[in-house]
Amino acid sequence: MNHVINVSQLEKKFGKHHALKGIGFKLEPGEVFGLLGPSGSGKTTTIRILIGELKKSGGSIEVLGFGSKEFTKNEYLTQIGILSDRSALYDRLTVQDNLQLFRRLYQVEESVIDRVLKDVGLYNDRKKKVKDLSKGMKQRVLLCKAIMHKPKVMFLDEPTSALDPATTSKIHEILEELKAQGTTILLTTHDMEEATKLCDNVALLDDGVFKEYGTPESLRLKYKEDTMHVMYKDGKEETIKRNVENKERLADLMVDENVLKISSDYPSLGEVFIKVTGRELV
Amino acid sequence: MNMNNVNAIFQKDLKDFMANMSLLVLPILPIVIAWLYNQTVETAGEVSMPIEMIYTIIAMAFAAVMFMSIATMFAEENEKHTLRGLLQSPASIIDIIVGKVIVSLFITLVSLAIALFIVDGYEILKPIDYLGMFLFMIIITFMGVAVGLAAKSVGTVSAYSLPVMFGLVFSPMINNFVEEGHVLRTIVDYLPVNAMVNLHNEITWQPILVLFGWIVAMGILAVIVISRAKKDD
Repeated sequence: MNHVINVSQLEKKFGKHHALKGIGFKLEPGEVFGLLGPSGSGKTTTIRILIGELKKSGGSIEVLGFGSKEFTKNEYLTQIGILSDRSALYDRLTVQDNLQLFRRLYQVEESVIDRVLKDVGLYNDRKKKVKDLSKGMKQRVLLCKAIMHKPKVMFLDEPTSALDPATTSKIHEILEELKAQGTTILLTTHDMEEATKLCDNVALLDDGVFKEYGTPESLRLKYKEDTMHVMYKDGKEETIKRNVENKERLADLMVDENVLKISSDYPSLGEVFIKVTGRELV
Repeated sequence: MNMNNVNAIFQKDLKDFMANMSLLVLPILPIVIAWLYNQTVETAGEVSMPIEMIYTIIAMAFAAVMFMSIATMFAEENEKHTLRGLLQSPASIIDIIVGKVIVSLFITLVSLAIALFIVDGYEILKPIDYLGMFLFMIIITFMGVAVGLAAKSVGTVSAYSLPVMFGLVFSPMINNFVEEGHVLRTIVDYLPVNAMVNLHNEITWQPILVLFGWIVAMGILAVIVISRAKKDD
């Protein structure tokens, strides 16, 4: 299998600070991979190295067959799309004028602008100046800019950070469509629900190292507790160990009219992260 | 250099320039100064305007319009993180610079043409003056790119531009109140605007060499700043 992204023993040092300590991952075509971790864990640094903004201190990287020294070449830049919190638009220009600039630079057809604006639900706002848009609308315009040239690989750094639920949902919808079309996506997030919903594989990054790597489901199963959580109608709660001794007790609870809810203690990705690192995802 | 990219940057920057009030007022300055100088000369009953005054207007056009607009456009791209987006597109730094310089040059030449018309400058200037202006334009381009890329905000450009404005625009005036042979006069003779005035008064190689010296110095400075801007490490 040819990997779209192949990262091995990637290291990055900023002076004495060791931001990345030898991480590695491989992405297959059409895969959505999530780098999860708190602020300062090395997520953005990884993306900035992959888009040629930073130089690596060690290890090897290959994206679409391009080595890290070729990341500033046009042949590479025309095949990737970037959306990060450092992406920006021209405030005094309209939505359409902003996209027109990048349409000309990427040499794509004029009709693409209308299509991508319709996709993100901003077609009727195309004549508005960017300074008059909300944060969520600006993020959707930036997404249009990132996808208008149909990149093979998308790098998304916290794409839905601090956005309203409606915009977040719209962006998720577009990312799922891109995935269906075969676009490989590498995203960073500290929103565990987002990672569970979108990612085929995730890596839990903490202090520059991968603490865990796998599918969201496999990580949740790996760290599940052998307990059942019982909630009663009177507000009381109880945790019961799932074993042979409690088999009859659990069966009785199933028909007990005082029981409101019985659930297995199946951890969320956020809880997995805390178990693995002992740190909150902030 | 890719002309398609240059054209895309030019069209974007021209629209942005026209929507930016702080840049739009710049081309008016040389025209206002030209009108004021013209009124002064007419009131004094002079036949024609002294060449130093003409060159103050020319320097004002290049320093206040061209230098300020190039530097401000780059500083704003830096401040708002839009330059990074351009560098991650198929546009090269040369495409970006050329696109912006064409916008600034176009606005500057319109402003300068009107200002020179007001003071009858076309009758006073000789063909050699246009060579001097061409070399000065290259100096200002390098200077504007270097300052704009080095500045992290538009406010910083304003701070950097004060010495540039005084050093360039008013240097020919020093000849009027400093005696020949004075050390200050020797120093200002090596400033580009005075070199242009000297070239007008006496066609020799020395002012041309001074202007080329400035081109080389500002060119090196611009190359250093451009290579730093391309890296972000």
